[in-house]
Amino acid sequence: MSAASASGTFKASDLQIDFCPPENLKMKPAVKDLVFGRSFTDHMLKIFYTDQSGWGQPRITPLQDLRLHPAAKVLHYSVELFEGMKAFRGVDDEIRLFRPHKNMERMNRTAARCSLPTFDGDELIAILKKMISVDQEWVPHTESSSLYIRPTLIGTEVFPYSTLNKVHPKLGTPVTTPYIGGHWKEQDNTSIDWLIKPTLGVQRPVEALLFVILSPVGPYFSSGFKPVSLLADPQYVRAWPGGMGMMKSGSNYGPTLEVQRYAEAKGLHQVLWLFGPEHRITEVGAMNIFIFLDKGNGEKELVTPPLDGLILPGVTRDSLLTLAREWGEFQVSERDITMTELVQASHDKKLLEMFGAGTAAVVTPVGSIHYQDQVINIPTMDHDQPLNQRFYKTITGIQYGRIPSPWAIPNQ
Amino acid sequence: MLSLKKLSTNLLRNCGPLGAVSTSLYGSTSQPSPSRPRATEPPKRVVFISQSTDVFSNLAFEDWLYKNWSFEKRSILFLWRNSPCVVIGRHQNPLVEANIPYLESAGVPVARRGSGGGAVYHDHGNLNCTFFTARERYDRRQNLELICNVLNHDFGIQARANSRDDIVVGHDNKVSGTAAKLGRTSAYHHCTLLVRTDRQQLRLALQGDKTIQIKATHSVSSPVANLGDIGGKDMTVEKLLASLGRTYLTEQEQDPRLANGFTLVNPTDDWFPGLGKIEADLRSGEWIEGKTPRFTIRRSVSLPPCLAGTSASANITVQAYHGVVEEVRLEDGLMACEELTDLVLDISTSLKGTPYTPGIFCDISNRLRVPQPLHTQRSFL
Repeated sequence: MSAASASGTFKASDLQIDFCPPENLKMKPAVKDLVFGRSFTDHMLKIFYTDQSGWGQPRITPLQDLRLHPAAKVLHYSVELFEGMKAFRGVDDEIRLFRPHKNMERMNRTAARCSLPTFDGDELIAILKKMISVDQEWVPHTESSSLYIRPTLIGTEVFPYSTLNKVHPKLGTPVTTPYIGGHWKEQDNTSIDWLIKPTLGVQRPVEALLFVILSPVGPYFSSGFKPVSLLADPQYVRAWPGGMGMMKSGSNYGPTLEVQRYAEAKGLHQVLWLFGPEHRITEVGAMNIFIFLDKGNGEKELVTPPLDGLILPGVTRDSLLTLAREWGEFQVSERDITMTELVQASHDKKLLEMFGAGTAAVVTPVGSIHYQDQVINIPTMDHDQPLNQRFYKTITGIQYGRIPSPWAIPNQ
Repeated sequence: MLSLKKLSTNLLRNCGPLGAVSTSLYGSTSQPSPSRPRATEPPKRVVFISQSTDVFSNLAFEDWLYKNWSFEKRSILFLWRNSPCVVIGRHQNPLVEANIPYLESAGVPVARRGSGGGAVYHDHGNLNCTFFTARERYDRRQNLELICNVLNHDFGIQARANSRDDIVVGHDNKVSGTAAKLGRTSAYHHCTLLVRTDRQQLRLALQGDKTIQIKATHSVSSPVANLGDIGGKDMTVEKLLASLGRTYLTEQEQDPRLANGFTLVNPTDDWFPGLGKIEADLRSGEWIEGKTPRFTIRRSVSLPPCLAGTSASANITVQAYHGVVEEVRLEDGLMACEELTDLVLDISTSLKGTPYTPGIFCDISNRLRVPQPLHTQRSFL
């Protein structure tokens, strides 16, 4: 049974588009000012959901503020999830999506866990393609530019009033009560109670909103691969067994902002998240972590923590593991690794590379870890051909169409 | 029952980066084959609006699009406005078409476009529309009809396209100009519309030097009118832009799913690599003056007493080619004294190869007044 069947699904064929009128289009800045997450395109996608009527009509509209009732669940109990994925303008000027189905699966898994409605991922991908097609000129025609796609699903409580003047199909009178889920409730009298009373009770939301916004990312260059420094302090815990570590929910990221600030105050770049008395390494910042070791017998080993519930199943993480297994040149292990093992490997000069993996930068090399009283230096970039750079070249080669692969889906 | 679509999607989801067939990641020469739309499928339509009012950036972008894009799957309507400027045709003479001294003093640039045709004056009250299509979809008449429909329908202006592909209102008052470029695979039709152009400036700017003899394309001047004068104060360039764009996107025969909306373009090299070079070429003297066909210009220059013979002045002709002086000639040479003839020959030699400027006759006049001894002119050769 597909995840979508529990709450039905919206359909790409129902998509309605309200184009942003020319007078409201946003000026495009210089490409160097297209910093990740700072600019947004001209349009957005909105799809409403209610328990009563299911998913509504998908609509692409000009980028606009949301109207929420103050009792909306997302504002109080963080009933929210999001996704991060990208579309790339390839070397042939065609646009490609990178493994979007993985994000759709994860989004539905997280929705089910977060009391939010599920849907058919293929329908959303078809709609995203249209969105990207409409706003594609926000991606510069240079190499290595991309469009960051941020689907979000939030629990609302009261359906926002439609901004269009609507007339009741049977009574012919103007309607001031909400337009729910794309369907007019079939009522034949005037005392229509469509308002779902907002409640602050800690309960499942009966309404939700799925929206998508797009952010253009200008080119960044591989010469910008300066290794980062990490703060590894076991008192800060990102996720725990039985928790939501494997879900891409906003509630996992909000609490990390302050810890990030502590790290920066110490002059460090990111946080290495540890767990348990043995100080297991779990993730770095908002990325998965990879460690490349020399086993000493002429063999090498690529290690990343297993998907045991604490770890977000990253799409980049999965891609790197698959590539490494395909290459078959070294051992690939999804296993636990502790700070003790890491420190030991560093002393024995067996710690070759350490890097984060995520959608934003593909790989982020780690240069040093500040752990308790020690500083562990890692020669991540001090090799002839670092593994992390080989990963970067292969993944970006696929994304930008240099290397043919079914992982890169054309935006047709 | 799993549909074929679901089967293939599942396959893609679960397989490695190269699909079910194991081949080397590197060295594969096959391109990913996206499902191509059928060749007969009508193209999507999108409206580009320039965020720049610099004529060189906009002309460069027009050229960049034409050279770099294929219009099989997307037709484009590019709408743009320029700060005050004059644009002359590919084969025209800027001195003949425009009042260069006036424009220079007013800081109004003159640009030469790549397409043929006559000279036009642009300012913020003028809207440029360029229709880009695949070569086989090029249809000038259709574009002009679209514009006329918008003017009739949305603004109540009775406009029509005449046999010269001008849009006219009333008694043959021109409100537009047309230029076009057709290549092997792509084509564009460029049309300008006068909405609220400053007609006094237009007249002053296009008052060229008609004494110049040329073989280049002459502009055909016609009485012009502003659409804004007929359409009332509600008629603005912004409104016309929005109306044209909307109609272009949603024309009746068009499937609404083919409309791709409006978007702003920032016509700079970082957004469109290669545009910087095109723009630099358009700005260069080599292009603007350097493409001017051969011309001659004759003036009467007064002579100082020592040189004056039977007449107090002489007719001097300057001949220039590609904006550079070829020769300075003395007309009626038989009547002149030897000293004058020699002097003019020397002036010709020293001015040959220098850029032609309207002030050249002043320069010649000065040289006649204060003749340089022959040996000092030659001493640096």
